Amino acid sequence: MTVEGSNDVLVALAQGRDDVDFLLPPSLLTAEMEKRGYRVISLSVGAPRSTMEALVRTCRKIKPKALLVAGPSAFLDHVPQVVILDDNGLGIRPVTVNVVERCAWLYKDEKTRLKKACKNIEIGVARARTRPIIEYREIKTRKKVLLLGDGESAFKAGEKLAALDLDVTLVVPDNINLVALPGIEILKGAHLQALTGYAGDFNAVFEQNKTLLEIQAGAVVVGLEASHPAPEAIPNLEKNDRVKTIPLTPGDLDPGILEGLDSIALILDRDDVETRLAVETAEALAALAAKKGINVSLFFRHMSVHGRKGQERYDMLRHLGITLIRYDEVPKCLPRDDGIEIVAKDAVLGDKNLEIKADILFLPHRTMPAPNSKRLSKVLNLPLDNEGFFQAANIRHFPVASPRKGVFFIGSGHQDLSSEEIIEEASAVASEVRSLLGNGNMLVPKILLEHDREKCAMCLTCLRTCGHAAIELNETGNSLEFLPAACWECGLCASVCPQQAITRLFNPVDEIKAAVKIASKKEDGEEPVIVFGCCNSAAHALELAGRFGLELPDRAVFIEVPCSGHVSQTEVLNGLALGAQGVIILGCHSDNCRSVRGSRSARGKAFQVAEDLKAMGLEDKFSRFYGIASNEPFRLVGIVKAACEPFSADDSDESVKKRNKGANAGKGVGANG
Amino acid sequence: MKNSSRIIVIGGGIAGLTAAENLAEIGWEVLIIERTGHLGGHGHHWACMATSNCNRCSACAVFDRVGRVLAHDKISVLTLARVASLKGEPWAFKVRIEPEEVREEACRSHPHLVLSQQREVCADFVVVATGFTPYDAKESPLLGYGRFPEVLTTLDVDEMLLRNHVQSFLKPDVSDIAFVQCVGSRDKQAGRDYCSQFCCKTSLRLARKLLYERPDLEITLYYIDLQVTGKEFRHFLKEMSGRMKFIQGTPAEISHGETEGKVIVKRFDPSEGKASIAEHDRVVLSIGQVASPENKDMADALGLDVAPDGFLALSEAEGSRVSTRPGVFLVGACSGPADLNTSSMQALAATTEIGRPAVMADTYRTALGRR
Ligand SMILES: Cc1cc2nc3c(=O)[nH]c(=O)nc-3n(C[C@H](O)[C@H](O)[C@H](O)COP(=O)(O)OP(=O)(O)OC[C@H]3O[C@@H](n4cnc5c(N)ncnc54)[C@H](O)[C@@H]3O)c2cc1C
Ligand code: SF4
Ligand code: SF4
Ligand code: SF4
Ligand code: SF4
Repeated sequence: MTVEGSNDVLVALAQGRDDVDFLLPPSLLTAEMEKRGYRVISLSVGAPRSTMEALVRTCRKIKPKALLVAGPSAFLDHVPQVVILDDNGLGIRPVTVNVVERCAWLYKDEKTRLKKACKNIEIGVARARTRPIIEYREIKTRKKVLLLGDGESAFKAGEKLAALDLDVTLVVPDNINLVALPGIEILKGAHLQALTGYAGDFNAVFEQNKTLLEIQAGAVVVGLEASHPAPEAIPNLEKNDRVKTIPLTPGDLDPGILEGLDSIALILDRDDVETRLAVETAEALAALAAKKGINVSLFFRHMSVHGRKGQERYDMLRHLGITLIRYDEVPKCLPRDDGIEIVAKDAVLGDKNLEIKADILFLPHRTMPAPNSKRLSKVLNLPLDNEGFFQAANIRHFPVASPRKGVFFIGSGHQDLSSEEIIEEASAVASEVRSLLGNGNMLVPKILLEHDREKCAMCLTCLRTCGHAAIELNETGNSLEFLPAACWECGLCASVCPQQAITRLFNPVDEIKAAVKIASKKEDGEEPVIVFGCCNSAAHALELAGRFGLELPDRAVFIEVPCSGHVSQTEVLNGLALGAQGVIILGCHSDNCRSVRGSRSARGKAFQVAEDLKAMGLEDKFSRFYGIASNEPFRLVGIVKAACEPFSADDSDESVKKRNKGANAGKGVGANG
Repeated sequence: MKNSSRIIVIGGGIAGLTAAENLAEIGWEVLIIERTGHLGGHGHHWACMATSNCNRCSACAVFDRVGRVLAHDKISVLTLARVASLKGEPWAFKVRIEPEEVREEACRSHPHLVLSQQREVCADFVVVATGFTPYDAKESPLLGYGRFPEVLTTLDVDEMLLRNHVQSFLKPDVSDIAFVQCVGSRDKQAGRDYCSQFCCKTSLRLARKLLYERPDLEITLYYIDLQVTGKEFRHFLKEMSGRMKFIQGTPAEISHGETEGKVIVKRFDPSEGKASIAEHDRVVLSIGQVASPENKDMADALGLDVAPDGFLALSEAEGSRVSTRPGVFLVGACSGPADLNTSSMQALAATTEIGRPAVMADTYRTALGRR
């Protein structure tokens, strides 16, 4: 099986049990590849685990410089997660080429299938050849967890974390009175000033009584509660002592506040829909009062029946004979000598005004972001959501994680939780922390990015762009430090550096160049269309397209990248210059990018190239960006088909938005199924 | 001597997958038993709701999970399989697995995952994540589903969006769409006295998506109470308030109108003291989650209990995900309505109740580094 001249790359062809189903006879493919001078080994996909072991054994024996694995997803699913390490910690990262779902299944014609598979493998081989070997080392992870908090969520999480044998330090503000929590160290009045390092080995700097304090920890859990300012005052009732505030949680209720009352009223949802905990507490207060024989009226806009027990609680209020009034317009409240009169229109009963008198009117607290959330968000280098609460609304990191490995969010400071969910979330975060630190060690690359200090202008673009806090200023502040353990390998930093001072060792520029060179070659006189696709969205969608039996145009060549932001303008232009008719970048929808700024950056780059093309008068070439999700195979094929039509107008997301026509480019263009 | 510690996860939806991944990460051998031919559960079928930005329906998160689970060397999967019985106790369960009789098509991509014959396996713990069933709107005959082509469910629209077919729904003559909330949920008489959790949000996201496709659409939403929970959802509702009509009170009856291709939504309007009617081009019923009809059989096979509303019963312990049988945990929508995000949180929560494995299986990850 040895073939002269190509000992550097080992091509492993994984074949299924059911060759027919793969639509691509592996023997044919093997012959074709050997004809081209590659050393090919065949793996038969049975149990992926033993297949992997066989592959590792072969690699150790042959010691190839690079490895390409081609086959069906049944086997490839297992490959990208691993690196083949030798005893010295040197690791080969295999390039994978899905020649089944993402290739053969997308073409009806057998000849085209084979042609496409060979082309994809060739691109893969070119990529594998340029991949440097990466050196790994094992690092110890610390068992210490820093838990910043001031309420129920943090206390519960502390308990759960401690129960899992993690060393918890609970950092609380000065004004909190705490009963000692077993197994938990408490640090009072310390404020986080800086957090450097990476998951498993963070260095946190606190300020306590004007002195600086450094603590090393494996993970950081931010469990600061939202702030709860007093309710907005009601006109005419600003200083009225018959208006009282509902406590924050059902546990805080003191039956004493109901002493001697005949009637009470509660008004919810005045400014905004109430939080779930506020509703729960109001309901508990109402029920408590009704059970004491007090007349209770509860006004609301939307009753929260969310949660397993929500509807039950609501039904109980009815049983207790509480007057429930759903309003459209906020009720008016008037001071009376012996109480407060509330005038409301029931949304259901309509026009008639209801007049209800109560001894005391109870209003819930408001809920706002934690007081120091802005400052802390800067320190943590993690953006807030659009309402100012902790944790940006990106589902990739839901429910409790963040783009910064090892930093987690819990509590009302980040999410609207019921009392039941507070406990669930505490358990969830403990589980996440344990799976990160529980094993005591981690295997990480020694170096992933080379930084050329000579070229670097210290503009800090890379540092600002990295969504994972994997770039830091060094101690003296005059250079940068890249943290491989924190890096998600999105490649964004290298693609935005104006000085090209950052060299990726994973998917290096040469690799993309080599891929683009092959991909942009004219075939049968046709100019190809290059499709760069993010591995977190577009690649899934393409695979799904194959499973659904959709068809991809011949001209399209797919190049997978770790993040759409990885692709630089130079690479797009390069492809166009080498003969591609157009380049499409497919990244995640805005706010869904795992690496935070990747897809926005890609959109900008594609748009910039499009402008350049226009300026150069190259009207027949194009460069476009589309946001796409894993579950959009039909739309993906629609987009690619539209772009591969002999001539199609520019209909990228950008220009579509301008024309206000909706983003479904390729809408209905043959994308049926 | 055992040579590994194993957990069996029944059901490969988002809840089961999340539990499996997290347990495998701390060293457990995990075996997922899935009844259908593919992983991902219901979430695998929902369309993307993104407009100019992601609208956080979480459906694509299911794909990430499936990928990571399939890649994990400590997780094995058996599809087209079901659990026939569960004997023994924690740390020494014996689980009988059988090939599913009614076999849907196996996933073409993973033919090796199919269970071919009966087997008995040992397990230390069991996680049940068998999910829910979408409400069949035909069971509310007055709402006209199945009788009038203009009446659809959120599931139908989801499917059209997934297939990029929404144009066939948004035909040029369609300009007025109504959503009807709580179909199948919050119905005490039918024994479903619960809120389905996800459907208010799903309808609002769908409305936003449809408005993005066709900004001129008129959309009305009939609701009982809107469940405004979760990140940035207050924001979202505020934005939508200006773009569509919200009417409190859900209709009792939907029928064909005088005009061709229109339907009439009839509801009791208390302010008028009588029935009021409105005409719409299309009506979308926001169906809820119903307990799987097989829960009874499953409970029998596994020695669990069923709650009055048909979902599997949790133990009384506060905040715990353990079922009424020690060592068996319930996560996701099998134990009560839950959306995707809540389901994965429950799965994470359950894994903290399960300790670290007694014996760590030695697998190829010792030879390979994990990226
Ligand atoms: C129309 C509609 C739209 C929705 N949209 C959203 C949305 O946008 N966002 C959101 O968050 N949620 C949405 N939901 C809710 C969401 O689908 C559920 O929250 C989620 O699927 C629950 O996950 P699960 O893993 O608990 O259950 P499921 O997804 O139901 O998965 C259960 C799995 O277990 C398997 N199984 C069942 N019984 C057995 C058995 N006996 N043995 C072995 N395996 C078994 C099933 O085949 C399935 O794979 C929507 C629901 C509907 C009906
Ligand atoms: S973007 Fe480039 S030039 Fe700017 S600081 Fe980073 S490495 Fe230096
Ligand atoms: S590759 Fe991505 S995660 Fe890594 S340092 Fe660069 S921008 Fe940050
Ligand atoms: S709308 Fe849903 S499916 Fe689409 S990107 Fe956002 S979370 Fe994913
Ligand atoms: S989420 Fe909304 S539509 Fe669904 S059952 Fe609850 S209240 Fe009704």
